[in-house]
Amino acid sequence: MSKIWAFMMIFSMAVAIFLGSPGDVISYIMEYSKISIQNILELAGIMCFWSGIFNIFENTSAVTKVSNFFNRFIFKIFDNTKLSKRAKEYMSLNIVTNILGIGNAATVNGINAMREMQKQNDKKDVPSDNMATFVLVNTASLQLIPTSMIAMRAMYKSANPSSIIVPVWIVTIISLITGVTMIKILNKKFR
Amino acid sequence: MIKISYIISAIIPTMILTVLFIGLKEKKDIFKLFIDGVIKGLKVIYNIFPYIFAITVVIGLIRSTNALDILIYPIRPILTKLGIDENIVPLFILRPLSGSASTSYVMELFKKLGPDSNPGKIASIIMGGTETTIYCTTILLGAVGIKKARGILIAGLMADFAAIITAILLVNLNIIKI
Repeated sequence: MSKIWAFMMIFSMAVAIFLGSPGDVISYIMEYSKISIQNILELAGIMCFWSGIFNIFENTSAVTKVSNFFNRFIFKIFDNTKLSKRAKEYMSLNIVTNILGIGNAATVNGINAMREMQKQNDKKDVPSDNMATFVLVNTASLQLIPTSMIAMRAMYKSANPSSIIVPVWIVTIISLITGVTMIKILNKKFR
Repeated sequence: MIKISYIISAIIPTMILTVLFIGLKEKKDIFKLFIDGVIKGLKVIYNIFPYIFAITVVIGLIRSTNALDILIYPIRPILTKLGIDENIVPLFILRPLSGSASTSYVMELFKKLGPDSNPGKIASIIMGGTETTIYCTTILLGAVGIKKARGILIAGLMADFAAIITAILLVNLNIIKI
């Protein structure tokens, strides 16, 4: 991650100095710093909302039911012995919200799940196998119906905006299988 | 079609209603729990902000300095030979990095070529079927203060690569009517 960031930063600076207009760089930095503040403000509102709603849900007995339901299949790809009850609950909520396409709520639950898993993690500066697999599941788009994309296609006058649903499912399944298989192999390799 | 979109739009309010209902049924102080949750949410925002900031600025820079175009330039002719429209190529790099950058790129693409063109279809499928891998990883690991990603980024980007290939094949070979 640090490498990717450093590479992009150095490369853009080098391009600006040698091939572009170095004088514009500071205005780009100012512009995008402003954009990131705007983004976080938008994100902060909706994340606080979902965090509030799911805090209610976490404190009811229903959360155990959701978690038990997922216990049967989803947790097969994780090392079950190292997952606390709380972690499983957050992970289930994260997966449910991902499938329903409520991305911000999924982020809130995903972060809570990561924190619970971090408590069981032996080496605090490296993600555990379970954490790595969990992040991978989150980087595959589990959303059942790609609503925002369908809306965007409709906005630009597509003849059949929702025709992408089945291809999107195929793509999601293939990328999920690839990702989980790869992380299982890489988890063993990167010790 | 109207009915399906109605059901989809009812998902979120129904879920909120269900949560509130369960809370009341189990005699919880839902207002207090909500407030506690908001406080937790604020702390999360505080923790992940530096990571969001770092990514947003670097993506802005790589796009506005034209560094992205230069990065893609050498592979462009190879991809065109494989029948991949060059307009779609920057999306392969933007998608894992940023949701807003890739969305605005696809909007430009739709404006230029239309959502039902070949590149338009490929872009739609990629946007629907993949996540912002690098951004997502940064936030989830950042929230617990981990800076080493082990194999996550390699595996995630390979999954994205598989997704891109699948999307291109689905559109170009016309297996399913899109």
